[in-house]
Amino acid sequence: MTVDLTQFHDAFFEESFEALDSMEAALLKLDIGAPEPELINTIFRVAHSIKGGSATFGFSDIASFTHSLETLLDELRSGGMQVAPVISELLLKSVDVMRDMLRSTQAKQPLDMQRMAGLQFDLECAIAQKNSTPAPAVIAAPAPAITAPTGHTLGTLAAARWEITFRPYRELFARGNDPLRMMRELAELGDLTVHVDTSALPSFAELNAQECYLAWKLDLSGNVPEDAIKQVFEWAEGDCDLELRLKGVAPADTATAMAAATPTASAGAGALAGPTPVVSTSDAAIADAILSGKPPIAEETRHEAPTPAVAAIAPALTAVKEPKSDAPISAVGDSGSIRVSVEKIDELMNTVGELVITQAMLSQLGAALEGPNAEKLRAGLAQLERNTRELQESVMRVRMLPISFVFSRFPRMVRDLAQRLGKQIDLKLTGEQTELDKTVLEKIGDPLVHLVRNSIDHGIELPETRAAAGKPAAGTVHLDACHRGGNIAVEVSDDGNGLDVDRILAKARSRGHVGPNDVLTDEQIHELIFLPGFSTADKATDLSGRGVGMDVVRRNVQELGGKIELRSERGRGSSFIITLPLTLAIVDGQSVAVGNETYIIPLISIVESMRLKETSISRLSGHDEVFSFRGDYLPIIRLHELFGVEPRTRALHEGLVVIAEGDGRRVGLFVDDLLGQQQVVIKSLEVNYGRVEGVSGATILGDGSVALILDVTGIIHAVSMRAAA
Amino acid sequence: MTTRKETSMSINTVKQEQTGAGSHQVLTFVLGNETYGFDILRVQEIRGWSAVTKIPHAPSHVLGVLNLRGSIVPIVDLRMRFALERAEYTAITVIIVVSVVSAAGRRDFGMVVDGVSDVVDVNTAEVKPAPELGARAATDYIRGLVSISDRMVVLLDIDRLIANDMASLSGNLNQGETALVASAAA
Amino acid sequence: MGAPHRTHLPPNVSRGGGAFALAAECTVAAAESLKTGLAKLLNHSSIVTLDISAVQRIDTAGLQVIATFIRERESHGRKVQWRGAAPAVSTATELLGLSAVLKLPTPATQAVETTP
Repeated sequence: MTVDLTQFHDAFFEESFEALDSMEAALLKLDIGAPEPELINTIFRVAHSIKGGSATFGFSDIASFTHSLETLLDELRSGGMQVAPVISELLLKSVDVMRDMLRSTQAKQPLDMQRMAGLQFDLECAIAQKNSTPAPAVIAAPAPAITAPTGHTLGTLAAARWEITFRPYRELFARGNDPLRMMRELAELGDLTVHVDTSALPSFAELNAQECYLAWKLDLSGNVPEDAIKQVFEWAEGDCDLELRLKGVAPADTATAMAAATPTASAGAGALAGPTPVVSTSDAAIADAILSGKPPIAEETRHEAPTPAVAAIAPALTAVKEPKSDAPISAVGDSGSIRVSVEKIDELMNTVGELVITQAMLSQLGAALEGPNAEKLRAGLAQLERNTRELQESVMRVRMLPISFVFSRFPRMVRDLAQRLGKQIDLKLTGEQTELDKTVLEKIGDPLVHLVRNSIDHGIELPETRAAAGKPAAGTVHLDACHRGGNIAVEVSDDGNGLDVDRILAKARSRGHVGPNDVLTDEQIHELIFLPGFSTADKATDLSGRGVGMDVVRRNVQELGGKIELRSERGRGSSFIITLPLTLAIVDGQSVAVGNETYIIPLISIVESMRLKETSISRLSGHDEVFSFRGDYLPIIRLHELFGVEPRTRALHEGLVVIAEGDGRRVGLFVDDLLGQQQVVIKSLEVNYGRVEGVSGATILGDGSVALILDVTGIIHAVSMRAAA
Repeated sequence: MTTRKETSMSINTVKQEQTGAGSHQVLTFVLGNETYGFDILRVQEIRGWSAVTKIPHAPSHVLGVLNLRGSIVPIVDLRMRFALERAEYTAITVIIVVSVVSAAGRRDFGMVVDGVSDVVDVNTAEVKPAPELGARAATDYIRGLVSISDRMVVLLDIDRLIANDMASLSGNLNQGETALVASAAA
Repeated sequence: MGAPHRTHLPPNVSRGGGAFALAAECTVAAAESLKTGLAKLLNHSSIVTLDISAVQRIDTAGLQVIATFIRERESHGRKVQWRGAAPAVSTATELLGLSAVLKLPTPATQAVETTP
């Protein structure tokens, strides 16, 4: 009776998708003329691991396809075949096909056998056509030292003696891992001596056949760099404790080993690259990065594409190591990371949110106390508040991931798009290490894709047009992210031809959005593109003109509690800036009082607050009230009227006006009082009640009562609808 | 307070008892001169009255929302819902928090009632259908009528009662029918 | 490269009288079933013969079950012997460092069969 292996499938799919992403990244960074063996090895390992896993779970079609892919990659790896553009294309297509196959298998849907068979045939043909004479292994980058954990510098020609301690966790088998496979691979790297530790084996009756109770101490000698060993255990990351100790080194030629590799050293390494997959990293910094799992590039450094292959390796490897879900994983050997389910993190966030509310309540109660111990209690509560705040920030950081996860899909997309449209695009990605909450990260992708597509489709001109205008033939699309205030600002900019204000105005006029005699500033015309269904594309290209307009992008951003701004200059380019809160669970808000009700206005929407003088208020036709602010006249919205609340005062100059912005417009919100700024935990109103326009959620104040969190954009909408009616 | 605690406790014990085939347990409560009841399994908790936060332009019988153990729960005044005379909320006014199943999933609601009565066993066979009251479709939330200790108890279908409110609950600040109505299911 | 034909595999067979023939598939998927089969012979009073001639695939999980079985029998002074040869088993045993535990016969040694 076979055991149901489906319980192990999820982990396999998850890891396979990640591995495919890293394979794709490596392929994109592969310089065809001078391919780095490191990248080819990464790609090979991905195929190898997916093949192994598929075979284990009986996904024979995937295993068979991946086997062909692996064979091709092996040829590339050993120098039996040259990397040519057509090969690179083939490999990229293979990534797509494998993704689809895995998705279909995961969804229990039939595979696209025709597509798979077709591509497999192409792979087989490519293998059959390989050069009969092995080309010399071309190593582009110099191959200097690799830093071993003990600080020894290891030349590529040295014989090392490694002592490996491998202690799997119980669930190792469940994750589709088999120590036997790893031993086999290690044995291929050098001379392997295996000592097993059976001390943890229980009695036969107590044995759980699907758990691993064995551990090993291994001696491995040979020309084995640390990396090679770590790669063997890559897929068992997080499921074992792994320790590597360098017991001895016998450098063949110290001088050559220590210096940056000479061609002799390279050739030597290349010759060995056949039977033993020697992995040579190109930079000690990269090695450090692999050890620590942190990318070697500091936040401020610019990272351009096409990137030098050296710097490209680390992101490719870290991409493999960092799971899409949560806490970043450091390299194997640290054993300092675990995979955590998203549900557990969400639960943790909720509980911490409740703690914050309780602590606020206690603080409020404590503030009012009298008596001998009141001071001590207040001091204790102040400490509690500090601790709670720290805890909250720590937990929030657990869910933060670098935006590189989203940025990473763009090189491929831009490449394909540019090819399709016959344009030349230089994609610049900066600030990829900027971190944001996982939920925000998941939802920011689509708006960004839309903006980038727009840039390439409508913004960047054809190479000839650009040349005629004195611009470089290749247009630049720049994606940048940085922390600004308590938010994250993501900018998509291009050096294309900017927004065509005349076209936009004409279209708006023809649709009746703008009167024939209205005069608009350029900024106001730019705002028009956010109107529903607006697109000035000549023909709806299948890329971006198809009804998904900027209004959807804006709505998506607003739903995340953010805003989108636009700058454009005819002939020079456009820039879209999306500002988002760092997390969806918490908002920094300004408490305001309207009558007996307390409302929270998110700080991200507030420009300024002020008390108006009677003289600065004017009345337009009807009873529309406006006031002057920085040279503009802004409408006043009486919140008490909007919400049906009895206010403390109706006289504008006796209350306060909060100048807020949404949808590119500014208004003055009239309130009775400002009550202070605080960070509040967002509670959903929709779960039990429903959606209320102008209200984005609710929070629980220190006294246990509920306060509504306002949605400025919604309020502006409601009021303008009313005005239009 | 003791009365409420006892009632809460009795509900808990009652929930664990087996109900015989053809009968179910009903929590009864008083509104004005009438006694109503509904399935006890829907009851989450019973608590005293506390000030609610108003929701802009909600229907008048929706008083607002309360913080119930971290969740934001709407509070409905059943007197107003049934178009009875409005009453004062006193120290013994009670809120019954119920769990309602709707197309959108499970939602919690609080209902303000005058007071909670007993939990009774109702034999399904003895439930009489509610008389047709003309064109008023509102009676679809009445499951039936049953006589308990010489009193008539109106059995409510809580799901239907609240579901009827769902559509009108989410507020369009303009109260007009035009554009941008956020739907509850959105 | 075809799919492993798991559906047609004969199960682990206990031949009575202390002999047990391992199935072709002794990997993690079949480990539980292997354990159940061996359990019947755990306390068998005379020598237990493990026939590995049919084994085609084995992994750490499978070997772990066998190793635990042998270890336990030996701790009670009971014997286990081998019949047949399987390259998959020998390679795996060596790679996992379990040679001392399993004590597989080298080709020179013949397994002595005890008639039931």
